[in-house]
Amino acid sequence: MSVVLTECVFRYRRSVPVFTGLSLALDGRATVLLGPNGAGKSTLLSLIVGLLMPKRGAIHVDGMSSVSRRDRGRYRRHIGWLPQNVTAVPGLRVREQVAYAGWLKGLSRRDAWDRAATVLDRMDLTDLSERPAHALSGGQLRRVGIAQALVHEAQIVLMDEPTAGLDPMQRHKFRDTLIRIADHVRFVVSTHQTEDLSDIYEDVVVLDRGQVRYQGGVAEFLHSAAMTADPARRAEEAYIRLLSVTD
Amino acid sequence: MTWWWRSRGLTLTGVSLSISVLMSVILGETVMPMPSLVSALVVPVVLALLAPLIPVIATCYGLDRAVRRLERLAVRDVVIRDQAAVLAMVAVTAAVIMPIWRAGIWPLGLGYLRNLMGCLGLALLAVPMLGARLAALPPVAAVIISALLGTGMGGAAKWWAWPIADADSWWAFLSGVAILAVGLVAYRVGERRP
Amino acid sequence: MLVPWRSRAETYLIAPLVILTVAYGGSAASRHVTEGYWTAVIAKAGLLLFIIAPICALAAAWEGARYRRGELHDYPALRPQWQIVAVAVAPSMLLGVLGVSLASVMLAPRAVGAPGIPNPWLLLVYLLVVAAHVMVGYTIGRWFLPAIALPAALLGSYVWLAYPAGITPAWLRHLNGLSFEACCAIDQMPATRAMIGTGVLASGVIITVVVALRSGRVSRLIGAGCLVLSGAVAVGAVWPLGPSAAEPRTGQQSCAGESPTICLWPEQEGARQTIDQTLRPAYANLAAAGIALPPTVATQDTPATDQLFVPMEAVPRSTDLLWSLIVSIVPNTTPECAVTGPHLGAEALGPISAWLALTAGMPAAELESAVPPEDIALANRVRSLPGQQQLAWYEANRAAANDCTARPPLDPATFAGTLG
Repeated sequence: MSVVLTECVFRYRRSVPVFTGLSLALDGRATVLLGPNGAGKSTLLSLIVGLLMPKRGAIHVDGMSSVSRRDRGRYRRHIGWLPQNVTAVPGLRVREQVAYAGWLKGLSRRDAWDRAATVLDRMDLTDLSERPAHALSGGQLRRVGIAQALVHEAQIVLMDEPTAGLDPMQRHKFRDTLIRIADHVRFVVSTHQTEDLSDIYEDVVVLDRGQVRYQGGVAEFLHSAAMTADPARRAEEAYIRLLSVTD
Repeated sequence: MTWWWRSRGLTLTGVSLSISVLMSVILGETVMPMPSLVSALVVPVVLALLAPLIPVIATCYGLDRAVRRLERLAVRDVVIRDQAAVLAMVAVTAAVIMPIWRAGIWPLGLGYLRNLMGCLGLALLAVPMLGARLAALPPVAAVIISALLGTGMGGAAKWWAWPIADADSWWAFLSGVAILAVGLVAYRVGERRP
Repeated sequence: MLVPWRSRAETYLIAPLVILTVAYGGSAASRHVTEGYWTAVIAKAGLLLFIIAPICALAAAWEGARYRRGELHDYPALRPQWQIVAVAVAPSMLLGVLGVSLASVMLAPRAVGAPGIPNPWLLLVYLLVVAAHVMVGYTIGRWFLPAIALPAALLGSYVWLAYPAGITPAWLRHLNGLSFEACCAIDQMPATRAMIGTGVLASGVIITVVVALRSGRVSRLIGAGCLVLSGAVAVGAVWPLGPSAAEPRTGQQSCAGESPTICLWPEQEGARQTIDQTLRPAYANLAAAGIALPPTVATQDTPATDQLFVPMEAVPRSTDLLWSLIVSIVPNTTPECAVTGPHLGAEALGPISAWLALTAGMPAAELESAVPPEDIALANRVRSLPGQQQLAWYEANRAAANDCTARPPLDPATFAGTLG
């Protein structure tokens, strides 16, 4: 995978700049984005996915530019997106909502319908597929969101805080899902959950106040924690240590 | 296509449009007094000219239901479908109204069509600026402001007060068409922006 | 007020409310209002409910939408629902109070200095009406998506205030609080039935909303019951009313003088000298011409035969006063026979009114605005006859004025020399 940001500048309207020349290349199959609240993780993902435009600089995903009109269709088909809050589409059932997401991404109606069944099955949501989407719990809706992100067979899936608000059982299921889909797609996940890093991800990027504080493999990242640290809390220790040093 | 149709609640919009047209034909020339700051204290406005607000509100409701985050990253052009839906509403209404109007059965038909176009145009114009949630307010405000300030001595509508102009005013009709065109363009530009 | 002002719709709606209320209030004040009579002035201010209530309903719908968006219904609140609602709608109510006060202030110059105070019951009814619109707006905001709730609250409130005046049955218009604007001449006051009807319905709606917003089926049923009951009471109250929301004014007039005794309302006392100086000579002139008039002039319409009802403003001009006296003697009414057919006797009304006015002492120049010049010319020709013949001409034409089939004997020559 190559997600390449070059000298990206971005600020929200009437607000302090979030990025003042961020350059970053994400090459791994599974990258986790860590950072405190307000670090710029969601903004970074929104920029990559194309919901936001950089004021200056460029973003390329597998050679396609996020701002090029010519690449727009291919770019959008290439990327899957799981936002922080998944919204139920009023009037649609679960399978219809997922199929609608596929149809929006350019699949034919029939393909979208069939693919929706497949991904819902992969997400263990087949039982819920005829339920109205607005009747689902937050955790179930999150899984529907992942199904939406996968339905059109995206090459790269970006996920913004996918496990926030999920109970331990749902988090476990989500981790399994990521492991299962890792064979088919590459993904970038922003999260606060630091446990299980080594099980899922290859690379770690730590963002703080719009700056990259760390980028490297998971093993090196964990290595930066004190050797005396509890193995189960190593990632957390490494993360805290990293941010306190940069403070 | 049906998913998009249902996500917009277009069946409800269609029903509200039908009810609004039917109600307007049945009510005929029934008027509603509206406050005015010029000429008389109240000016009578034909209800058929206010009735298009019902399908316009339903349209805004439909646009407000859209999950923008999902649709902004779509490969398919959803905006053009929304525009087509609005144009279809106008076309169907015109197809129903024009024969009745030409036959002289419903002389207010042209006024209804004009206000439907103008109010839809204003609502579409408002979506990128205020959001679909508040988009129905400008058309409602346009009608109220036209009644408040838009009449001259003798109750005739001023040139800019198209919502309350005589049903057979061609100038007001053209205004309605122009506002719809501007609204469609503004909606396209505003909603296709990432 | 828990939501900061910067996030409240009222902060942004206060400017349009003030601008429109001031502009519309100014416009209403410049039209016909019974000068110097507080009740009439406050009744006229009711016209501004047109502006105030929909804006307040919109603000409240916004607040209801905030509650909906915040999914507060899922929050296990310890406070009772009515308290939550009261806090949420208080600023919208405040906006309504501001609007009603501003409306009263805009019209007040037409009554400043007059005895009495603004009618508190009428003001209370207006506030109840605004409060009901606020509560309904809030409920719509809580129950529907904002894209529907906001325009529905604005438009629904507006249509409920405007539409009943244009349709039958006439009593419907007395339920929304706007019908008082056509009230009142100085001898009238707002119909108690209309005030009760409007007040009860508005209170019923407020109670309904507060009860119905509590969760549970029973609460909704009780709410619906409240609405039906208040609606029934309100309709029962206004049912007998016609299109007007005015009724004869109660209270005592103060009477003074003789030939005639003149009875006035407190608001007219300040102009008693002008009234005396105008009416007494006119009365004496008419009596000298042989016109028999009741011994008392009153500004209250009663069936008493010993009183002549002369409507007048609180501070009348002499010319208006004199003309009002003439119209009281020769009312311009249509006899029953004229409802479906021609009314030939109507030709007499102009000339006899002109003759009475000239006889009472009104200068011909001031009469020109009320009577066609040919009628004045005819009256002058009649006045050149001897007194008895003038009286005979007047009585014959006065009687003929009610006849639909025969032309009145207007030609003075017919009477010349008849009684000589």
